[in-house]
Order: sequence, then structure tokens, then C-alpha cells
Amino acid sequence: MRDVHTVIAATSRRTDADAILASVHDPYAFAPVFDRHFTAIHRYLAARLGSDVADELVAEVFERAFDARGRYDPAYPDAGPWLYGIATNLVHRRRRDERRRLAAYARLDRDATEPSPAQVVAERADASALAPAVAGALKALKRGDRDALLLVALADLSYEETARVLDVPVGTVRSRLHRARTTVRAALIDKEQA
Amino acid sequence: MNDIEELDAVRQLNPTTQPSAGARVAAADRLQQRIDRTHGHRSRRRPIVLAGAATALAVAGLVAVSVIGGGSDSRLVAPADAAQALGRVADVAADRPDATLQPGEYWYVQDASRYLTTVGDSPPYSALGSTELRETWTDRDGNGRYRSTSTGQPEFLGPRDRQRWKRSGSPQLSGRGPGQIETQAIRSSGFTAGASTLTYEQLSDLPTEGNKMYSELRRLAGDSGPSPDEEVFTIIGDLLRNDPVPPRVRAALYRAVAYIKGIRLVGPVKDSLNRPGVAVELDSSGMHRRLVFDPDTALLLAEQDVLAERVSYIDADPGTIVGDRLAVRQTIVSSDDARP
Repeated sequence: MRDVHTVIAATSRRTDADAILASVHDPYAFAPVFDRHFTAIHRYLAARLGSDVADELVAEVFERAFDARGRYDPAYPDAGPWLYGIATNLVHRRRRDERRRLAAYARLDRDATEPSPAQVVAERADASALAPAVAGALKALKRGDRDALLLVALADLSYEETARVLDVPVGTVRSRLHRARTTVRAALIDKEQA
Repeated sequence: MNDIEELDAVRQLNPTTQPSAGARVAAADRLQQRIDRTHGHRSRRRPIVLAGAATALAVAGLVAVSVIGGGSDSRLVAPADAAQALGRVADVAADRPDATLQPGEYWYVQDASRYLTTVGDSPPYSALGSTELRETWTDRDGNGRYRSTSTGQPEFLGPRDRQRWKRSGSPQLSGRGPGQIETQAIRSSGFTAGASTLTYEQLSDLPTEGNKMYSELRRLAGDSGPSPDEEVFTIIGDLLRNDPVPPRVRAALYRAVAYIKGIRLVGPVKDSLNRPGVAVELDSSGMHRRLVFDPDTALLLAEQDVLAERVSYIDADPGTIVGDRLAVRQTIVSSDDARP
């Protein structure tokens, strides 16, 4: 059924949930969800897999979200965590890319030649010098622990949101984060002491 | 070393980068193509209409829609029982008296529906239905007037939605209260059919044979709709319910339903106004979409969306009628404020 002269019951606000709900029967209503979240989801994917792979995968996140819009729970106005969940599942599919990327970062340290005085000075000022150690730690993490850490660190999700994304209890998120942070901390301390 | 530093170290492993404009355009294009391919309502929105409560609506008598004509059918894809039921109602339609919309006259349509709306700025977030009685007056050029009257308090669909609303502090319900009226002028270049707009003359000249009507509706559907056949189904419902199609065309519309792949006969049903009818249905987007018609008068009584499976956005069980549009009255009147 469709109204030729229809007037939709107006709502003063259009949350993601509003848009997704509307898009079940009016697919073009889905557009604001893309507009609001594209940049953040791309950044998350780029941080985990690199910009090139992010360019490739980000469209699939929104295509999958569109296909699954009928199953979205409108109790959550912000679709961000839902989209991060889809993105995280896609990252899993490309886990070899992620591990390769982390391994490459970790090798930077090992492959480096004797640092110049200027590099040492820069290293103290630039936390990116810690990248090889962090990458090595991330690579060593279990997948669930790494997901939890990166969803909090890169996507700025709360513990509750992360639990929803990963479909685990909040307590599990806390324990995963604790393990992940401990591993990263140990790597950073080692690096500082080296 | 503290937690913040660890998170910062992780963040700095991959400094934030802005996606390129090209990446955005490419992703938007892919999403657009997906939407176009699977669903294509570009210019109009399909409201989600909800079940029941039609008994709250004042229902006037029905005005028969006259139908004449028929046509030869071939390449039918509907099961025999569905094709027979559609053929019989088309025959009845063909025997109805004709009526032509003259210049200065208006096609008056009254129908009833319930719309889904939402309440709550933050979780818990609830869905509720608002009931409307809607009237349109449309002249031969497609111009006229629209008037909707809210006929009842918004209602929650189920206990989950009500509980969510209560937990969020029972905020003001959106939707209109009983008796609230909304009017709007209709300025149109004609009558909408799928992706096309037809003049009254074109509407009158639509094919009078089922197979030719089906082919024409496929053409008019363009790339709208979840699939071409689903859009044809939608257009047929729209034309039967909304538009001043002449009787011979109306008969062909019923016959054309039998060419839609996936159509099946539901059998005798009663609509939400307890009117007996016969239903055919097509599966679409998790719903059984039904056309309910009166086999004795060939009137389209109702269009229904019946939930095929449980979904998160509607607090109802499979089998529930979650979309309901009830045809109440269709006839010709002499002005844009006249009622039969």
C-alpha cells in the first residue's frame, strides 16, 4: 500500500533509530545514517586495516547495515555501536590483513638501524615511536581482547556499548580490557626501559 | 603509565585520518545502488501503518466502483485457485456500471489507516500507532485537497514499547490527539503510478487485458520498489484504492495480479472493519502483503501487511496485521469540500 497524497506522521527529531525505522518502508530514509557515521566508521576501519582496505570495506558496512535495517532495535537511537559491530565483523574477515599490518609496524623497531641523535630526541617527544611496541602487543592479544580495546580506544565506545557490539556481558568487556591493557602496558614499559 | 596513556598509545599507533572525498563518494554510490536495486521509492514515502483499531473509526457506507470489460489472459503464473479468484472478481468488476469524472467534479476517497510514530529522546525508545481517517478530493488534472482527522489516542503496539516509555519517564506522546485535523492542498500534474505520473486520460486508457496491463505496470514501475513484481503489486493496490480508473481498467488490474510471481490465494478473510472478503498475498520484506477484495462488488476493501516473522522494530508476533489501510468510500462529488 502506498499513499499518493500521503502525509507522514511528523516527528520533530530524526534519530538514527527514526531513520532506520522509516527506511524499512522508505529505503531512502536510510541516507542520514550514512551521512552521520561514514567518517567515524572509515576512521575505525583505517585504524585497524589501513586506509586502502578501509576505502574498500566501508561501503560494505553500510550495505550490510541497510540490508539488516529491519532487525535494528529502535530502543537505541544512536546506530554507531551497531555500525561498529558490523565493521568489526568485517575486520575479522580480514584478520590476516590486520595481523600483517601489525606485524609490519612491530618490525619497524627490529628493522631500525642505529638511531641518530635527532631520532632519539624525536622519540622522546613523539609517542608514535612506541608504535612498534604497541603493534606487537596488539598482535599478541586474543581477538576478543583486541576488539574490546580498539572499540574503546578508537571508537570511543563505552563499556556498555562495547558489550553490545561484541554481544558479551559488560563484565566480560571489563576483563578483556584489563587483560589487553596489561599486555600493552607491559610492552610500553619494556620499550621505555630498553 | 596509566590507562589513559595506554589508550593514547593505541590511538597513536594509527593517527586519525580523514577519509578521502573519493572514498566517501564511492561508498555513497554503492549504497545508493543497493537501495535502488532493492527498493526504489524515490519521491514518495511509504508510511508504516499499524494494525487494528479501525473499529474506532466512523465508517460510512461503501460506494460501488463500477467495472466493465475483461480480456484474454495467458502466461498466468498464479496458482490456479488464486487465478480463479482474481478472474471471478474481475468478471464482477466488469459488470459494474461506468462512471466518468467530468471537468469540475472531484474523485472523493475516504480511507482509514494507522501510522507508526515514535516517542522518547533517549532509550528506552518506543513505537506507537496513530489512527487517521483520511479524505482526498482530486479533479481530472490531479489537483485537489487532502484532509486527515486523527481519530484516536496513539497506542503502544505491545507491552515492551509501553514499558520502555514508562521507564523513560512517560514523556509526552507524539502523534496527534483525537479530532485534530490536518489539511493540505494537492498540486499535481496527474495521478501517480509507480515511477510515472499519468493524466486522467492516460489513466483511462490503461490496458484492459490482464497480461497487457501487467506489462504496462512493469514499465510504469521503472526501477521503483523492492522488485518489479512487488512494485506492480503496490501500484495495483494504489490504483484500486485511490484513483478514478474506469471500470474496464479496474477489471484488468485484478487480472494483472495473477501475473505477479509469488501471488497466492489466502482465501476468505474479514478485514479490520469485519467486512468479509477474499485475500491474495505476496511476500515482501518480512511481510505478507495482502489485497482484500469483496468478491460480490469487486471493491478493494483493504491492504494489509501481516508480519511474517518477529522483528525488533515492531512489538508484535508473526501473524499480526501490522499494516492496515481500509478503503471506506470512493465516489464522484461536485466540489472539493463535498462529501457523498
